[in-house]
Order: sequence, then structure tokens, then C-alpha cells
Amino acid sequence: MSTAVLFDLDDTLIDLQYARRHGLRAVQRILPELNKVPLDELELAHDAELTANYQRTLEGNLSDEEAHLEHMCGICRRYGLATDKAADAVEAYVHEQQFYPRLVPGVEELFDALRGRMKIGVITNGRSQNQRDKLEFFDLLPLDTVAISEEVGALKPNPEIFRYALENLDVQKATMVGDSWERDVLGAIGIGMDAIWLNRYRRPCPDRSLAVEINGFEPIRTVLRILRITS
Amino acid sequence: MTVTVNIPEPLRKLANGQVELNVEIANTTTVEKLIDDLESKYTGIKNKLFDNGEIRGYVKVFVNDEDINFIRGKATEVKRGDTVTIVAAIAGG
Repeated sequence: MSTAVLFDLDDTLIDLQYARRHGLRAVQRILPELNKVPLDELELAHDAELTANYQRTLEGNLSDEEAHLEHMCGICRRYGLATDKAADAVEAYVHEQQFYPRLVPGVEELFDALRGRMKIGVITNGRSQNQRDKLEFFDLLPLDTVAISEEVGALKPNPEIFRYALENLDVQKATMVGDSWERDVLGAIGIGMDAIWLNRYRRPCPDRSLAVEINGFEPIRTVLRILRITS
Repeated sequence: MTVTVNIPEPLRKLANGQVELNVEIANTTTVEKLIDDLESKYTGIKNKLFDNGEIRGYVKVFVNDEDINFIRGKATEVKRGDTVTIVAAIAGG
């Protein structure tokens, strides 16, 4: 049976959280009042701000720069701080993140094991150029299919973007792997794909009957077993 | 003396896993020539950093912590003892 595995990109293949945490440490240096906030908590606060603006950013109604500033002002307000240093904090955050690009551990090995045995693709929400730059820089190409929301005109979990990705694959079975329960797991299941939920931060699983949960890609033999490939 | 070049994690496999490279140069060179020197030893690295002869939009190069975009871009001078850091401006929100 011909099969495919499709991956989300940000925080599934590319470890953006690793860079984000370094960025947030730089923010704490600019806003020392935040030093008393544990990094995990600060990250959750940042994530909440990010989520609040996610749709507007992806739809192009908010530039990356505006979004960063809104997130930082939001964090300042959450912790009762003035926002006068928010722009400096953004600059430090963005600057620091650049020094920590990396793939999620195990991705390279997993791709090596999958290539030639299954079709591989990426389905990602984001701007075309940004996402294609990442695929190039992190050496994730070639892929059998790439669906980027800006190019497709639909954001996950909209079924349209999943259909677009599957359109030219000619496979009988496809599995989606992603870190977002709503966007990746529910989106994939909605059009009849299987799903693997990458839950690196061990959040409570909303429904174990819907998807297989993994906490990382290492050891890859576990992932290969789930995909029914023997290593 | 040499120039120290810090390599970002995704490119280290092209540099035999090295985190930093020490590159012998004459007294001075430019960022572009330095990358050409790296390419002669570590094939593929230039293609990751340049596209059509220009530094890729998401690649940033710092010479002694100064962003070369604010100096002379790829023509920025590099001297013995300098530290060149390559980063990728592609992190998320």
C-alpha cells in the first residue's frame, strides 16, 4: 500500500521553542522585573499573546514587527510593567533567537529513514517565503508535497489545505504529524487522515482515541513502528 | 592569526560537525572571500548562505558582533583575529 507522512513545520520539524526560550531570556535581561517569573510561565504568557494575534498575523493584517511589539506589550501588561521598554525587549528577543536555529532532535535521522520508503510532505501555516526559507536552510528538501497556507489560501485546520497537500501524492493512506491538537490532529482527522500528536511538553491529551501521542522523535524506531516501517 | 567563524547548528554537518572554524587569511579579506575559502573546504556551505551572488535574505553575518548589513554587506572587511558569526533570521513569533 502506498503511504505518506505529512509534517507540520514550526515546532514539529523546526525547534522554534528552543530559539524562543533563548529570546525570552534576553527579554528578562532588558526587563529585569521578569527575572522572578519562571521561564516556563513566561513562555506560556508569550504563547498566549502569540495565539491571540496568530490569525491576524497569518492573514497579513499584522506585520511581524507589529505582532512582536503587541506580544511584548501584552506581556508587560500581564506583569504590571510599563510598556516603555517593550520595543527594546522585542529587539533583544528577535536578535537572540537568530543564534539558536535547530531542528527538533531526531528529525534528520527520521527523514533519512523515511526517504524512499514513504512519501513525505509538509503542511504549514505561515507566509510562503518564510516557510520556504526554513525548508531550504534546514535541508528538508526535496519533499513530495508542500502546502503553505499563504499559497493555498487556507489555514489549518481548514480541510482545503490538507486536500491540497494530498492532491498530487496518489497514496492510499496518509498520516499527519504535528504539535497542534486543533490545527494538525483535528484538521487531519477531519478529512480521514490518521494523526500523530507530537506532545513534547506533555500537555494533557484531549482525546486518546483520536491520535497516537508521541513526546519526541527519539528514538526514531518508535515513530517508524507507529508508521509501520521497520528500521 | 586566523579568523574564527561560528557556524549555526543546521550548517554544522557541512563543516564536519564543527561549531567554529579557524580560517587562515592574509592580513585582510572580505566576508564574501571568506565564504569562498570556506566553500573550498566545506562544499555546499556557500549555497546555504548565498543566492545569485547575494547573501540570502534570512542569513545574517556579524563581524565582531556588528551586523554586516550596517557596514558594507558582503564586501565588509575581515581582519585576522576577527570573529565572524553566521546566523539565520528565521525563528518564529
